[in-house]
Amino acid sequence: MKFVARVNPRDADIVVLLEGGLEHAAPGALGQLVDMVPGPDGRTVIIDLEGVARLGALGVAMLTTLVGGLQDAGHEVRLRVKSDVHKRVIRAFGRDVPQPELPGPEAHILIERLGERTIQMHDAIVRFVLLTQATLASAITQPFRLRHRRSGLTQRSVVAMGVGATPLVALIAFLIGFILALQSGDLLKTYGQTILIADLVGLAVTKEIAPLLTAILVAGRSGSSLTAEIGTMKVSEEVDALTVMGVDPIDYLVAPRLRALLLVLPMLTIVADVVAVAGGITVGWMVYDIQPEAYIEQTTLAVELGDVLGGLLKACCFSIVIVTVAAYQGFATAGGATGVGKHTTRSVVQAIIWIIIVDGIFTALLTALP
Amino acid sequence: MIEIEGNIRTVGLACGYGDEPILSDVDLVLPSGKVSCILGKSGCGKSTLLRTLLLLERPLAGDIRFGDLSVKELDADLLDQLRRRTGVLFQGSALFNSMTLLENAAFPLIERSGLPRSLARELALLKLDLVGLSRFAHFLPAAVSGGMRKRCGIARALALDPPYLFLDEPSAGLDPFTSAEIDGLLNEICDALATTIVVVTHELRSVERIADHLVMLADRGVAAQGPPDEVRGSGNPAVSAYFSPQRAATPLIDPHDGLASFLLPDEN
Ligand SMILES: Nc1ncnc2c1ncn2[C@@H]1O[C@H](COP(=O)(O)OP(=O)(O)OP(=O)(O)O)[C@@H](O)[C@H]1O
Ligand SMILES: [Mg+2]
Repeated sequence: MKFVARVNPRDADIVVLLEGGLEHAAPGALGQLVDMVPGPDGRTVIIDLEGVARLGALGVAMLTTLVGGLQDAGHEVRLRVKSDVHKRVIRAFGRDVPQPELPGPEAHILIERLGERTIQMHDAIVRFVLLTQATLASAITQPFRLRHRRSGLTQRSVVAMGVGATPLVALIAFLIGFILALQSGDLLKTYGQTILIADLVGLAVTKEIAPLLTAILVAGRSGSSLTAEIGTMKVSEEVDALTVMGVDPIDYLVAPRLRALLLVLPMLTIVADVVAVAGGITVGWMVYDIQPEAYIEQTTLAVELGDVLGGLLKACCFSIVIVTVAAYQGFATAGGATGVGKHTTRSVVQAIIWIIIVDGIFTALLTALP
Repeated sequence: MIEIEGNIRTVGLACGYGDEPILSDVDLVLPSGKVSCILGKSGCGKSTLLRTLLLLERPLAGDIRFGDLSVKELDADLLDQLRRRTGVLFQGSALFNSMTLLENAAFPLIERSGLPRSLARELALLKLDLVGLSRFAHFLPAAVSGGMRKRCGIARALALDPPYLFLDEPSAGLDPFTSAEIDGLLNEICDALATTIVVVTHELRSVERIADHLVMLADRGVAAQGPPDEVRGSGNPAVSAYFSPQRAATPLIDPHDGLASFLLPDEN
């Protein structure tokens, strides 16, 4: 249906004849219509709705806008409505709808905000520490308490977290070993000591890069999915359902994941160690003519068992960080699907930050030891 | 040892989510072995009250008592016993999405009863049959209708034959026939097992069928409570407004032009 407006300016009154569907008026049409009306010259503008077939809430709103526009321009406006239906509709929708109260502008002073934030942060830290404590306790005691009732979930998590991540970890580790060897080789060549590439790659990878890199990849893959899973369960009241059944959500959802990751992350780290060294071997062999046997021998001379074990210990700590941060963000989820997305992102970002902080502390402690 | 059985009572209970109570000064007695219905307008705090009774939300003030046991003296062990004795249907069903209906219904049995898995599943199938879902036992919650999820939620709540049963709108989204069947089931359970049942509902027909006790919430508190006839005859304005709502301002559809319009008193 089309909307047509006719203005007849020569009569005693100015008649605006509306026809068709008022709600079909093009955007801006009402403004143009107001401009079309001559005056104001003391004559009354009569808006005739005779030809309007159908008037709903939207139509009434358009009409109100039109009348308002004309009145603002200084016209005296009247409506001519014959149809009883139109009258009823105008009466029903033409009233002022009660406006919902919007929350007023926040009048917090800075200090107050700061105080609030501090309290929030304090609460968050307390909650996080409690959660970590509960998760560790639960993960350690689970096999004794539940006689392997949760072992199915643990096994499935091992597969999901470990098998799925292996190709990715291997690819990245190979590339890192490769790049590291190229970069260091360039420097070592000037001293004629290219064989030291093996030392450098071996030590850097086992002590630092493999655990760190693997943990970051796993945080992105499995930490996020744990947060999303718990967050979704939280917003659909499934976590509450567990609670009222007397099943501890930490014990049911988090502890099996931690036990799985405590196994998976060190294993992935070993994979990364080996593959990264293979990357170094490739560069040594192809670019610097180091025989693989010689490279491997040099690596075994440079890297001690303690270096590898230190890296694996780091990986264990990182597993705890990944799972507890993911669980914390999952349980903190509120506000539907948007909330799940927000907390999943936060989970990954915070896990990575904490992994690097923990790594820093760890490395500082290890190097400080004799 | 404290035996957890008997009336549920609240004394000066205030509940809500922040500091601002949604309901305050709630003094309730929900009689043991009877069906109590909680009524009130949408958004008045029925689910909030239920969550507080379930100890999912911390009471802002006051006390809740299950028989002789005050929730203030709950330790971890007593809380666990209380959980073992309560079955809950949430308003949104809250089924575990990764499990089939059967696994959902069997979950409390597997986790809390110590029965072997096969027996737990058999019992769960029995409960699913009670709510007419045995044919759909192996469906995932995402693959069944909202009403079916509700019924599965009821089966899960019933799994351990709990002495306390809390149901948030069990008949919402059900057809009259199924709704009547569920009501019959609740009456049977109440009679046979002397279960204390607390139902939040909007269905007046269902209230007539099952309620032994009514609680009417309005204006941030309890407007009336007691046996159904007493409450309905009390002349409380909130109760009369609920049971025979005025339709003056209800939008009607005009049969001639399909327009929504309001019947208002004529000005002239
Ligand atoms: N998680 C929450 N956080 C803050 N406020 C909430 C939350 N859930 C509900 N509310 C508020 O509490 C009030 C009561 O909500 P509640 O869900 O208890 O209503 P209800 O009586 O169960 O309504 P319905 O019949 O529609 O289910 C509402 O005004 C709502 O805004
Ligand atoms: Mg509700």
